[in-house]
Amino acid sequence: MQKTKRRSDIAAIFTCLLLLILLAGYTWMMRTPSFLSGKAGKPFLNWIMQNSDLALAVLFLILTSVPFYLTFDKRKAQARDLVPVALMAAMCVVGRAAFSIVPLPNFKPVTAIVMITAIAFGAKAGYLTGALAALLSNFLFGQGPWTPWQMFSWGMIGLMTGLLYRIGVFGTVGQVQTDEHGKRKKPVRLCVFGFFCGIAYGWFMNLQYIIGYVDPINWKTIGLAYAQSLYFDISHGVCTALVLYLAAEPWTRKLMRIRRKFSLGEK
Amino acid sequence: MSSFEELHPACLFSYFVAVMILFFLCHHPLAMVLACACALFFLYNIEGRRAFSWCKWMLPVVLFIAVVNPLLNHRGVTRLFKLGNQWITLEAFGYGLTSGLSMAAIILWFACYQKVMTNDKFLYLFGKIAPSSALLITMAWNYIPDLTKKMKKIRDSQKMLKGTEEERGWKQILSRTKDALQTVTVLLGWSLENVVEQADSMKARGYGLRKRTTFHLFRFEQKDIFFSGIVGVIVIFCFVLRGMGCMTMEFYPQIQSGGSKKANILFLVLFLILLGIPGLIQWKEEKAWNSYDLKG
Repeated sequence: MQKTKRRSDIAAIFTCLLLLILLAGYTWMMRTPSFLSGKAGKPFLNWIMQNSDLALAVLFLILTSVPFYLTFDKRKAQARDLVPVALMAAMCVVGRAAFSIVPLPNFKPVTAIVMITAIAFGAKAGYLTGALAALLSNFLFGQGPWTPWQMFSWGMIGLMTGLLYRIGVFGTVGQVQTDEHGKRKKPVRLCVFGFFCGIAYGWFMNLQYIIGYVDPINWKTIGLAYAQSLYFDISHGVCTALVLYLAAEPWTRKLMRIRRKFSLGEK
Repeated sequence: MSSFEELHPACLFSYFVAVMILFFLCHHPLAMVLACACALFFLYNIEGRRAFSWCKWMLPVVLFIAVVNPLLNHRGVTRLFKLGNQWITLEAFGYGLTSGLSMAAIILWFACYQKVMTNDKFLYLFGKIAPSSALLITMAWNYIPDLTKKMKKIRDSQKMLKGTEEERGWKQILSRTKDALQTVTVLLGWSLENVVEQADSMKARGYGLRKRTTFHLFRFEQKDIFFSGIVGVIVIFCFVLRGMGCMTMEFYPQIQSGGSKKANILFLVLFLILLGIPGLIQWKEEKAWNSYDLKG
Protein backbone atom coordinates (compact mmCIF):
# COMPACT_ATOMS: atom_id res chain seq x y z
CA MET A 1 0.00 0.00 0.00
CA GLN A 2 2.71 2.42 1.02
CA LYS A 3 4.71 1.56 -2.05
CA THR A 4 1.91 2.13 -4.57
CA LYS A 5 1.16 5.41 -2.84
CA ARG A 6 4.72 6.56 -3.31
CA ARG A 7 4.71 5.45 -6.92
CA SER A 8 1.57 7.34 -7.90
CA ASP A 9 2.95 10.43 -6.19
CA ILE A 10 6.05 10.23 -8.28
CA ALA A 11 3.94 9.67 -11.38
CA ALA A 12 1.88 12.76 -10.56
CA ILE A 13 4.94 14.97 -10.19
CA PHE A 14 6.43 13.45 -13.32
CA THR A 15 3.36 14.34 -15.39
CA CYS A 16 3.58 17.90 -14.12
CA LEU A 17 7.15 18.13 -15.37
CA LEU A 18 6.15 16.52 -18.64
CA LEU A 19 3.65 19.30 -19.23
CA LEU A 20 6.43 21.87 -19.03
CA ILE A 21 8.56 19.91 -21.49
CA LEU A 22 5.61 19.69 -23.88
CA LEU A 23 5.17 23.43 -23.77
CA ALA A 24 8.84 24.02 -24.45
CA GLY A 25 8.75 21.56 -27.34
CA TYR A 26 5.79 23.31 -28.80
CA THR A 27 7.44 26.73 -28.77
CA TRP A 28 10.52 25.21 -30.37
CA MET A 29 8.40 23.71 -33.12
CA MET A 30 6.73 27.02 -33.81
CA ARG A 31 10.09 28.76 -34.19
CA THR A 32 11.43 26.28 -36.71
CA PRO A 33 8.85 26.16 -39.50
CA SER A 34 11.32 24.31 -41.73
CA PHE A 35 10.08 21.27 -39.88
CA LEU A 36 7.14 21.32 -42.27
CA SER A 37 8.01 19.62 -45.50
CA GLY A 38 6.94 21.13 -48.81
CA LYS A 39 3.36 21.00 -50.05
CA ALA A 40 3.97 18.09 -52.41
CA GLY A 41 5.62 15.56 -50.14
CA LYS A 42 4.04 13.56 -47.34
CA PRO A 43 0.55 15.10 -47.07
CA PHE A 44 -0.34 13.09 -44.00
CA LEU A 45 2.70 14.20 -42.02
CA ASN A 46 1.99 17.75 -43.12
CA TRP A 47 -1.54 17.45 -41.91
CA ILE A 48 -0.43 16.26 -38.50
CA MET A 49 2.11 19.07 -38.23
CA GLN A 50 -0.43 21.69 -39.18
CA ASN A 51 -2.88 20.52 -36.59
CA SER A 52 -0.33 19.95 -33.87
CA ASP A 53 -1.70 22.78 -31.74
CA LEU A 54 -5.04 21.03 -31.50
CA ALA A 55 -3.44 17.72 -30.58
CA LEU A 56 -1.38 19.50 -27.97
CA ALA A 57 -4.43 21.18 -26.45
CA VAL A 58 -6.21 17.85 -26.05
CA LEU A 59 -3.09 16.22 -24.64
CA PHE A 60 -2.68 19.11 -22.23
CA LEU A 61 -6.24 18.75 -21.03
CA ILE A 62 -5.82 15.03 -20.41
CA LEU A 63 -2.44 15.36 -18.74
CA THR A 64 -3.62 18.10 -16.40
CA SER A 65 -6.23 15.82 -14.96
CA VAL A 66 -3.86 12.88 -14.55
CA PRO A 67 -2.18 14.03 -11.31
CA PHE A 68 -5.62 14.89 -10.00
CA TYR A 69 -6.84 11.40 -10.77
CA LEU A 70 -3.78 9.57 -9.51
CA THR A 71 -3.60 11.26 -6.14
CA PHE A 72 -7.22 10.72 -5.28
CA ASP A 73 -9.33 8.33 -7.26
CA LYS A 74 -6.77 5.58 -7.38
CA ARG A 75 -6.47 5.65 -3.64
CA LYS A 76 -10.11 5.67 -2.43
CA ALA A 77 -9.62 8.76 -0.31
CA GLN A 78 -11.75 9.30 2.76
CA ALA A 79 -14.20 12.17 2.89
CA ARG A 80 -12.35 13.81 5.77
CA ASP A 81 -9.11 13.89 3.82
CA LEU A 82 -10.84 15.70 1.00
CA VAL A 83 -12.51 18.21 3.26
CA PRO A 84 -9.71 20.76 3.75
CA VAL A 85 -9.01 20.84 0.03
CA ALA A 86 -12.66 21.34 -0.84
CA LEU A 87 -13.10 24.05 1.77
CA MET A 88 -9.99 25.97 0.78
CA ALA A 89 -10.95 25.82 -2.90
CA ALA A 90 -14.39 27.19 -2.05
CA MET A 91 -12.64 29.80 0.09
CA CYS A 92 -10.66 30.91 -2.96
CA VAL A 93 -13.86 31.48 -4.89
CA VAL A 94 -15.58 33.32 -2.05
CA GLY A 95 -12.39 35.23 -1.28
CA ARG A 96 -12.50 36.66 -4.75
CA ALA A 97 -15.90 38.12 -3.91
CA ALA A 98 -14.62 39.42 -0.56
CA PHE A 99 -11.75 41.22 -2.26
CA SER A 100 -13.96 42.79 -4.89
CA ILE A 101 -14.37 45.79 -2.55
CA VAL A 102 -10.76 46.78 -3.26
CA PRO A 103 -10.76 49.12 -6.27
CA LEU A 104 -7.88 47.51 -8.18
CA PRO A 105 -8.18 45.20 -11.19
CA ASN A 106 -7.15 41.57 -10.87
CA PHE A 107 -6.87 41.96 -7.10
CA LYS A 108 -7.64 38.40 -6.06
CA PRO A 109 -6.34 36.38 -3.14
CA VAL A 110 -6.57 32.99 -4.86
CA THR A 111 -2.81 32.55 -5.31
CA ALA A 112 -2.16 33.48 -1.67
CA ILE A 113 -4.80 31.09 -0.35
CA VAL A 114 -3.45 28.26 -2.49
CA MET A 115 0.06 28.92 -1.18
CA ILE A 116 -1.07 28.96 2.43
CA THR A 117 -2.94 25.69 1.96
CA ALA A 118 0.17 24.16 0.43
CA ILE A 119 2.20 25.19 3.46
CA ALA A 120 -0.29 23.87 5.98
CA PHE A 121 -1.41 20.66 4.28
CA GLY A 122 1.48 19.74 1.99
CA ALA A 123 2.36 20.03 -1.67
CA LYS A 124 -0.22 17.63 -3.06
CA ALA A 125 -3.08 19.31 -1.24
CA GLY A 126 -1.76 22.58 -2.63
CA TYR A 127 -1.85 21.25 -6.16
CA LEU A 128 -5.38 19.98 -5.75
CA THR A 129 -6.63 23.18 -4.15
CA GLY A 130 -5.20 25.27 -6.97
CA ALA A 131 -6.63 23.10 -9.72
CA LEU A 132 -10.00 22.79 -8.04
CA ALA A 133 -10.24 26.52 -7.32
CA ALA A 134 -9.66 27.28 -11.01
CA LEU A 135 -12.28 24.77 -12.09
CA LEU A 136 -14.86 26.00 -9.58
CA SER A 137 -14.44 29.69 -10.12
CA ASN A 138 -14.81 29.08 -13.84
CA PHE A 139 -18.17 27.44 -13.22
CA LEU A 140 -19.15 30.90 -11.97
CA PHE A 141 -17.14 33.19 -14.24
CA GLY A 142 -17.31 31.06 -17.39
CA GLN A 143 -15.43 28.02 -18.62
CA GLY A 144 -13.27 28.28 -21.69
CA PRO A 145 -10.10 27.08 -23.31
CA TRP A 146 -8.23 28.84 -20.48
CA THR A 147 -9.57 26.47 -17.81
CA PRO A 148 -6.88 23.75 -18.09
CA TRP A 149 -4.20 26.44 -18.16
CA GLN A 150 -5.49 28.04 -15.01
CA MET A 151 -5.85 24.67 -13.35
CA PHE A 152 -2.29 23.82 -14.23
CA SER A 153 -0.72 27.12 -13.23
CA TRP A 154 -2.48 27.45 -9.87
CA GLY A 155 -1.86 23.79 -9.21
CA MET A 156 1.83 24.19 -9.94
CA ILE A 157 2.05 27.23 -7.66
CA GLY A 158 0.61 25.09 -4.87
CA LEU A 159 2.94 22.20 -5.59
CA MET A 160 6.05 24.38 -5.75
CA THR A 161 5.21 26.22 -2.56
CA GLY A 162 4.63 22.99 -0.72
CA LEU A 163 7.89 21.46 -1.93
CA LEU A 164 9.94 24.58 -1.21
CA TYR A 165 8.45 24.83 2.26
CA ARG A 166 9.31 21.20 2.90
CA ILE A 167 12.93 21.91 2.00
CA GLY A 168 12.86 24.85 4.38
CA VAL A 169 13.21 27.81 2.04
CA PHE A 170 10.58 29.85 3.80
CA GLY A 171 11.69 29.09 7.33
CA THR A 172 9.00 28.27 9.85
CA VAL A 173 5.66 29.75 8.94
CA GLY A 174 2.91 29.25 11.47
CA GLN A 175 5.16 28.18 14.34
CA VAL A 176 6.83 31.48 15.20
CA GLN A 177 6.77 32.55 18.84
CA THR A 178 5.75 36.07 19.81
CA ASP A 179 8.47 38.56 20.76
CA GLU A 180 8.33 40.82 23.82
CA HIS A 181 5.84 43.20 22.15
CA GLY A 182 3.41 40.38 21.44
CA LYS A 183 4.08 40.47 17.70
CA ARG A 184 5.16 37.70 15.36
CA LYS A 185 7.83 37.88 12.71
CA LYS A 186 6.43 38.27 9.20
CA PRO A 187 7.40 35.68 6.56
CA VAL A 188 9.19 38.06 4.20
CA ARG A 189 10.76 35.39 1.97
CA LEU A 190 7.33 33.87 1.39
CA CYS A 191 5.96 37.28 0.39
CA VAL A 192 8.70 37.82 -2.18
CA PHE A 193 8.04 34.37 -3.60
CA GLY A 194 4.32 35.16 -3.64
CA PHE A 195 4.89 38.36 -5.57
CA PHE A 196 6.80 36.47 -8.25
CA CYS A 197 4.19 33.70 -8.30
CA GLY A 198 1.47 36.26 -8.99
CA ILE A 199 3.41 37.67 -11.92
CA ALA A 200 4.45 34.25 -13.21
CA TYR A 201 0.84 33.19 -13.19
CA GLY A 202 -0.10 36.07 -15.47
CA TRP A 203 2.84 35.37 -17.74
CA PHE A 204 1.94 31.74 -18.01
CA MET A 205 -1.65 32.59 -18.85
CA ASN A 206 -0.39 34.89 -21.61
CA LEU A 207 1.09 31.84 -23.30
CA GLN A 208 -2.39 30.48 -23.77
CA TYR A 209 -3.38 33.61 -25.66
CA ILE A 210 -0.17 33.70 -27.70
CA ILE A 211 -0.25 30.07 -28.76
CA GLY A 212 -3.93 30.21 -29.60
CA TYR A 213 -4.43 33.55 -31.28
CA VAL A 214 -1.15 35.15 -32.34
CA ASP A 215 0.62 34.35 -35.58
CA PRO A 216 3.43 34.75 -36.48
CA ILE A 217 5.02 34.44 -33.08
CA ASN A 218 7.99 36.78 -32.86
CA TRP A 219 9.51 39.01 -30.17
CA LYS A 220 7.42 42.00 -31.15
CA THR A 221 4.03 40.30 -30.87
CA ILE A 222 5.04 38.50 -27.70
CA GLY A 223 6.28 41.76 -26.23
CA LEU A 224 3.01 43.48 -27.00
CA ALA A 225 0.96 40.72 -25.39
CA TYR A 226 3.08 40.94 -22.24
CA ALA A 227 3.02 44.73 -22.18
CA GLN A 228 -0.78 44.64 -22.34
CA SER A 229 -1.03 42.47 -19.29
CA LEU A 230 1.80 43.98 -17.23
CA TYR A 231 -0.42 46.23 -15.11
CA PHE A 232 -2.77 43.38 -14.25
CA ASP A 233 0.09 41.03 -13.45
CA ILE A 234 1.77 43.48 -11.09
CA SER A 235 -1.54 44.15 -9.38
CA HIS A 236 -2.00 40.42 -8.89
CA GLY A 237 1.53 40.04 -7.55
CA VAL A 238 1.13 42.92 -5.10
CA CYS A 239 -2.15 41.50 -3.88
CA THR A 240 -0.61 38.08 -3.30
CA ALA A 241 2.37 39.54 -1.43
CA LEU A 242 0.15 41.80 0.68
CA VAL A 243 -2.21 39.01 1.67
CA LEU A 244 0.70 36.73 2.52
CA TYR A 245 2.39 39.46 4.56
CA LEU A 246 -0.70 40.11 6.64
CA ALA A 247 -2.35 36.73 6.79
CA ALA A 248 0.12 33.92 6.12
CA GLU A 249 1.01 33.56 9.77
CA PRO A 250 -2.50 33.53 11.36
CA TRP A 251 -4.11 31.42 8.65
CA THR A 252 -1.36 28.84 8.71
CA ARG A 253 -1.72 28.61 12.50
CA LYS A 254 -5.45 28.05 12.17
CA LEU A 255 -5.09 25.40 9.53
CA MET A 256 -2.33 23.61 11.41
CA ARG A 257 -4.37 23.56 14.59
CA ILE A 258 -7.29 21.95 12.78
CA ARG A 259 -4.94 19.50 11.17
CA ARG A 260 -3.48 18.46 14.52
CA LYS A 261 -6.85 18.33 16.21
CA PHE A 262 -8.53 16.02 13.71
CA SER A 263 -5.29 14.43 12.44
CA LEU A 264 -5.99 15.26 8.82
CA GLY A 265 -3.88 15.09 5.71
CA GLU A 266 -0.56 13.44 5.09
CA LYS A 267 1.55 12.66 8.10
CA MET B 1 -38.25 15.29 -30.11
CA SER B 2 -38.48 17.53 -27.09
CA SER B 3 -36.12 20.34 -26.21
CA PHE B 4 -32.38 20.07 -26.64
CA GLU B 5 -31.42 20.11 -23.01
CA GLU B 6 -33.58 17.09 -22.25
CA LEU B 7 -31.30 14.81 -24.23
CA HIS B 8 -29.05 12.42 -22.34
CA PRO B 9 -25.99 14.16 -20.82
CA ALA B 10 -23.60 11.81 -22.58
CA CYS B 11 -25.07 12.83 -25.94
CA LEU B 12 -24.87 16.50 -25.10
CA PHE B 13 -21.33 16.31 -23.81
CA SER B 14 -20.00 14.41 -26.80
CA TYR B 15 -21.84 16.77 -29.15
CA PHE B 16 -20.10 19.77 -27.63
CA VAL B 17 -16.72 18.08 -27.60
CA ALA B 18 -17.05 17.16 -31.30
CA VAL B 19 -18.15 20.68 -32.21
CA MET B 20 -15.26 22.27 -30.32
CA ILE B 21 -12.73 19.98 -32.01
CA LEU B 22 -14.16 20.96 -35.38
CA PHE B 23 -13.75 24.62 -34.47
CA PHE B 24 -10.10 24.14 -33.69
CA LEU B 25 -9.61 22.27 -36.96
CA CYS B 26 -11.30 24.80 -39.23
CA HIS B 27 -9.41 28.05 -39.11
CA HIS B 28 -11.56 29.58 -41.79
CA PRO B 29 -13.55 32.83 -41.62
CA LEU B 30 -16.68 31.46 -43.26
CA ALA B 31 -16.95 28.49 -40.90
CA MET B 32 -16.42 30.76 -37.90
CA VAL B 33 -19.12 33.21 -39.01
CA LEU B 34 -21.51 30.27 -39.35
CA ALA B 35 -20.53 29.04 -35.90
CA CYS B 36 -21.17 32.43 -34.28
CA ALA B 37 -24.53 32.76 -36.06
CA CYS B 38 -25.68 29.30 -34.98
CA ALA B 39 -24.67 29.91 -31.38
CA LEU B 40 -26.57 33.20 -31.33
CA PHE B 41 -29.61 31.50 -32.86
CA PHE B 42 -29.56 28.88 -30.11
CA LEU B 43 -29.07 31.44 -27.36
CA TYR B 44 -31.86 33.57 -28.81
CA ASN B 45 -34.25 30.63 -28.61
CA ILE B 46 -33.36 30.04 -24.98
CA GLU B 47 -33.19 33.49 -23.48
CA GLY B 48 -34.74 35.74 -26.13
CA ARG B 49 -33.44 39.23 -26.76
CA ARG B 50 -30.82 39.03 -24.05
CA ALA B 51 -28.74 36.78 -26.29
CA PHE B 52 -27.78 39.77 -28.40
CA SER B 53 -26.12 41.47 -25.45
CA TRP B 54 -23.27 39.05 -26.23
CA CYS B 55 -22.68 40.90 -29.49
CA LYS B 56 -22.16 44.14 -27.63
CA TRP B 57 -18.81 43.10 -26.21
CA MET B 58 -17.96 40.35 -28.66
CA LEU B 59 -17.80 42.67 -31.68
CA PRO B 60 -15.17 44.99 -30.18
CA VAL B 61 -13.02 41.98 -29.26
CA VAL B 62 -13.18 40.60 -32.80
CA LEU B 63 -12.42 44.01 -34.30
CA PHE B 64 -9.58 44.62 -31.88
CA ILE B 65 -7.83 41.38 -32.77
CA ALA B 66 -8.49 41.95 -36.47
CA VAL B 67 -6.96 45.45 -36.35
CA VAL B 68 -4.01 44.75 -34.09
CA ASN B 69 -2.65 41.85 -36.15
CA PRO B 70 -1.96 43.79 -39.39
CA LEU B 71 -0.49 46.67 -37.40
CA LEU B 72 2.16 44.42 -35.89
CA ASN B 73 2.72 42.00 -38.61
CA HIS B 74 3.63 42.80 -42.18
CA ARG B 75 3.87 39.45 -43.86
CA GLY B 76 1.84 38.77 -46.98
CA VAL B 77 2.03 39.97 -50.57
CA THR B 78 -1.22 41.90 -51.09
CA ARG B 79 -0.46 45.42 -49.89
CA LEU B 80 -3.43 47.56 -49.03
CA PHE B 81 -1.97 50.90 -47.92
CA LYS B 82 0.99 52.38 -46.14
CA LEU B 83 0.80 53.41 -42.52
CA GLY B 84 3.86 55.24 -41.29
CA ASN B 85 6.62 53.40 -43.11
CA GLN B 86 5.05 49.94 -42.97
CA TRP B 87 2.67 48.27 -45.38
CA ILE B 88 -0.65 46.96 -44.12
CA THR B 89 -1.34 43.65 -45.83
CA LEU B 90 -4.60 41.92 -46.62
CA GLU B 91 -3.23 38.59 -45.41
CA ALA B 92 -2.43 39.82 -41.93
CA PHE B 93 -5.84 41.42 -41.67
CA GLY B 94 -7.51 38.20 -42.80
CA TYR B 95 -5.60 36.18 -40.24
CA GLY B 96 -6.50 38.61 -37.46
CA LEU B 97 -10.15 38.57 -38.43
CA THR B 98 -10.25 34.78 -38.48
CA SER B 99 -8.56 34.57 -35.08
CA GLY B 100 -11.01 37.05 -33.60
CA LEU B 101 -13.98 35.22 -35.06
CA SER B 102 -12.77 31.86 -33.82
CA MET B 103 -12.28 33.29 -30.32
CA ALA B 104 -15.83 34.69 -30.42
CA ALA B 105 -17.21 31.39 -31.70
CA ILE B 106 -15.54 29.43 -28.92
CA ILE B 107 -16.74 31.80 -26.22
CA LEU B 108 -20.30 31.74 -27.57
CA TRP B 109 -20.36 27.96 -27.79
CA PHE B 110 -19.08 27.71 -24.26
CA ALA B 111 -21.99 29.94 -23.25
CA CYS B 112 -24.33 27.48 -24.97
CA TYR B 113 -22.59 24.63 -23.19
CA GLN B 114 -23.19 26.26 -19.85
CA LYS B 115 -26.87 26.79 -20.59
CA VAL B 116 -27.32 23.11 -21.41
CA MET B 117 -24.79 21.11 -19.41
CA THR B 118 -25.56 22.11 -15.87
CA ASN B 119 -23.33 21.15 -12.98
CA ASP B 120 -25.40 18.13 -11.96
CA LYS B 121 -25.25 16.66 -15.46
CA PHE B 122 -21.48 17.02 -15.51
CA LEU B 123 -21.21 15.25 -12.18
CA TYR B 124 -23.65 12.55 -13.31
CA LEU B 125 -21.34 11.77 -16.20
CA PHE B 126 -18.06 11.78 -14.33
CA GLY B 127 -19.18 10.68 -10.88
CA LYS B 128 -18.83 7.06 -11.89
CA ILE B 129 -15.49 7.29 -13.62
CA ALA B 130 -13.82 9.42 -10.97
CA PRO B 131 -15.81 9.17 -7.73
CA SER B 132 -13.43 11.01 -5.42
CA SER B 133 -12.95 13.91 -7.78
CA ALA B 134 -16.70 14.15 -8.22
CA LEU B 135 -17.16 14.14 -4.45
CA LEU B 136 -14.52 16.83 -4.09
CA ILE B 137 -16.17 19.06 -6.66
CA THR B 138 -19.64 18.52 -5.19
CA MET B 139 -18.47 19.29 -1.67
CA ALA B 140 -16.64 22.44 -2.70
CA TRP B 141 -19.57 23.49 -4.85
CA ASN B 142 -21.81 23.00 -1.85
CA TYR B 143 -19.63 25.20 0.37
CA ILE B 144 -19.73 28.21 -1.92
CA PRO B 145 -23.31 29.44 -1.22
CA ASP B 146 -22.88 28.57 2.44
CA LEU B 147 -19.67 30.57 2.73
CA THR B 148 -21.17 33.46 0.80
CA LYS B 149 -24.04 33.65 3.27
CA LYS B 150 -21.67 33.59 6.21
CA MET B 151 -19.47 36.20 4.59
CA LYS B 152 -22.38 38.56 4.24
CA LYS B 153 -23.17 38.21 7.93
CA ILE B 154 -19.55 38.88 8.90
CA ARG B 155 -19.32 41.88 6.65
CA ASP B 156 -22.53 43.37 8.00
CA SER B 157 -21.39 43.08 11.57
CA GLN B 158 -17.98 44.53 10.73
CA LYS B 159 -19.62 47.48 9.06
CA MET B 160 -21.72 47.99 12.18
CA LEU B 161 -18.62 48.07 14.37
CA LYS B 162 -16.40 50.23 12.21
CA GLY B 163 -18.76 52.68 10.55
CA THR B 164 -18.05 54.21 7.16
CA GLU B 165 -14.52 55.02 6.06
CA GLU B 166 -13.36 58.36 4.84
CA GLU B 167 -9.98 57.54 3.33
CA ARG B 168 -8.84 58.02 -0.23
CA GLY B 169 -6.16 56.69 -2.56
CA TRP B 170 -3.58 54.22 -1.31
CA LYS B 171 -4.83 54.37 2.24
CA GLN B 172 -8.27 53.34 1.09
CA ILE B 173 -6.85 50.38 -0.81
CA LEU B 174 -4.82 49.27 2.19
CA SER B 175 -7.67 49.60 4.65
CA ARG B 176 -10.09 47.80 2.36
CA THR B 177 -7.59 45.00 1.87
CA LYS B 178 -7.33 44.68 5.62
CA ASP B 179 -11.13 44.55 5.91
CA ALA B 180 -11.37 41.86 3.27
CA LEU B 181 -8.61 39.89 4.97
CA GLN B 182 -10.35 40.05 8.29
CA THR B 183 -13.57 38.84 6.71
CA VAL B 184 -11.84 35.83 5.23
CA THR B 185 -10.00 35.14 8.49
CA VAL B 186 -13.24 35.04 10.46
CA LEU B 187 -14.83 32.92 7.77
CA LEU B 188 -11.99 30.43 7.97
CA GLY B 189 -12.28 30.05 11.72
CA TRP B 190 -16.03 29.73 11.56
CA SER B 191 -16.25 27.06 8.92
CA LEU B 192 -13.20 24.84 9.44
CA GLU B 193 -14.49 22.78 12.32
CA ASN B 194 -18.02 22.41 10.99
CA VAL B 195 -16.64 21.02 7.82
CA VAL B 196 -14.58 18.29 9.45
CA GLU B 197 -17.57 17.28 11.54
CA GLN B 198 -19.65 17.06 8.41
CA ALA B 199 -17.14 14.69 6.87
CA ASP B 200 -17.12 12.52 9.97
CA SER B 201 -20.90 12.31 10.01
CA MET B 202 -20.87 11.33 6.36
CA LYS B 203 -18.60 8.48 7.23
CA ALA B 204 -20.76 7.47 10.19
CA ARG B 205 -23.77 7.21 7.90
CA GLY B 206 -21.97 4.85 5.58
CA TYR B 207 -20.71 7.10 2.85
CA GLY B 208 -18.59 5.23 0.36
CA LEU B 209 -19.74 1.75 1.32
CA ARG B 210 -21.82 1.31 -1.79
CA LYS B 211 -21.93 2.81 -5.22
CA ARG B 212 -23.25 6.33 -5.35
CA THR B 213 -26.60 7.19 -6.82
CA THR B 214 -27.44 10.55 -8.32
CA PHE B 215 -30.40 12.81 -7.80
CA HIS B 216 -31.41 12.85 -11.45
CA LEU B 217 -32.34 9.83 -13.47
CA PHE B 218 -31.26 10.12 -17.05
CA ARG B 219 -32.41 7.37 -19.35
CA PHE B 220 -30.96 6.70 -22.74
CA GLU B 221 -34.05 6.83 -24.92
CA GLN B 222 -34.83 6.45 -28.57
CA LYS B 223 -34.47 10.15 -29.28
CA ASP B 224 -30.94 10.01 -27.89
CA ILE B 225 -30.05 7.17 -30.25
CA PHE B 226 -31.58 9.13 -33.11
CA PHE B 227 -29.70 12.29 -32.20
CA SER B 228 -26.32 10.68 -31.68
CA GLY B 229 -26.70 8.71 -34.91
CA ILE B 230 -27.28 11.83 -37.00
CA VAL B 231 -24.59 13.83 -35.27
CA GLY B 232 -22.10 10.98 -35.48
CA VAL B 233 -22.56 10.56 -39.23
CA ILE B 234 -22.24 14.28 -39.89
CA VAL B 235 -19.16 14.61 -37.71
CA ILE B 236 -17.44 11.70 -39.42
CA PHE B 237 -18.19 13.20 -42.82
CA CYS B 238 -16.83 16.55 -41.68
CA PHE B 239 -13.63 14.98 -40.42
CA VAL B 240 -13.14 13.05 -43.64
CA LEU B 241 -13.70 16.15 -45.75
CA ARG B 242 -11.35 18.12 -43.54
CA GLY B 243 -8.72 15.41 -43.92
CA MET B 244 -9.10 15.74 -47.70
CA GLY B 245 -8.16 19.38 -47.38
CA CYS B 246 -11.47 21.19 -47.26
CA MET B 247 -11.77 24.42 -45.31
CA THR B 248 -8.05 24.77 -44.84
CA MET B 249 -6.69 28.22 -45.39
CA GLU B 250 -3.07 29.23 -45.73
CA PHE B 251 -2.69 32.90 -44.92
CA TYR B 252 0.97 33.59 -45.53
CA PRO B 253 2.38 34.56 -47.95
CA GLN B 254 -0.92 34.66 -49.84
CA ILE B 255 -4.43 33.61 -48.90
CA GLN B 256 -5.15 30.21 -50.39
CA SER B 257 -7.97 27.89 -49.49
CA GLY B 258 -7.60 24.19 -50.05
CA GLY B 259 -10.02 21.62 -51.40
CA SER B 260 -12.26 21.73 -54.43
CA LYS B 261 -15.21 24.09 -54.56
CA LYS B 262 -17.88 21.39 -54.48
CA ALA B 263 -16.33 19.68 -51.49
CA ASN B 264 -16.09 22.97 -49.67
CA ILE B 265 -19.75 23.71 -50.22
CA LEU B 266 -20.70 20.21 -49.08
CA PHE B 267 -18.62 20.73 -45.96
CA LEU B 268 -20.26 24.06 -45.17
CA VAL B 269 -23.75 22.61 -45.60
CA LEU B 270 -22.94 19.71 -43.27
CA PHE B 271 -21.33 22.11 -40.81
CA LEU B 272 -24.40 24.32 -40.84
CA ILE B 273 -26.72 21.36 -40.22
CA LEU B 274 -24.54 20.10 -37.39
CA LEU B 275 -24.37 23.46 -35.63
CA GLY B 276 -27.97 24.32 -36.39
CA ILE B 277 -29.42 21.23 -34.72
CA PRO B 278 -29.66 22.58 -31.14
CA GLY B 279 -31.16 25.87 -32.26
CA LEU B 280 -33.68 24.14 -34.51
CA ILE B 281 -34.80 21.70 -31.82
CA GLN B 282 -35.23 24.55 -29.37
CA TRP B 283 -37.09 26.66 -31.93
CA LYS B 284 -39.49 23.83 -32.79
CA GLU B 285 -40.16 23.24 -29.11
CA GLU B 286 -40.85 26.90 -28.55
CA LYS B 287 -43.33 26.95 -31.43
CA ALA B 288 -45.11 23.83 -30.23
CA TRP B 289 -45.38 25.30 -26.74
CA ASN B 290 -46.80 28.57 -28.00
CA SER B 291 -49.31 26.83 -30.24
CA TYR B 292 -51.01 25.41 -27.13
CA ASP B 293 -51.59 28.91 -25.84
CA LEU B 294 -55.31 29.33 -25.23
CA LYS B 295 -55.36 33.07 -25.66
CA GLY B 296 -53.94 32.86 -29.18
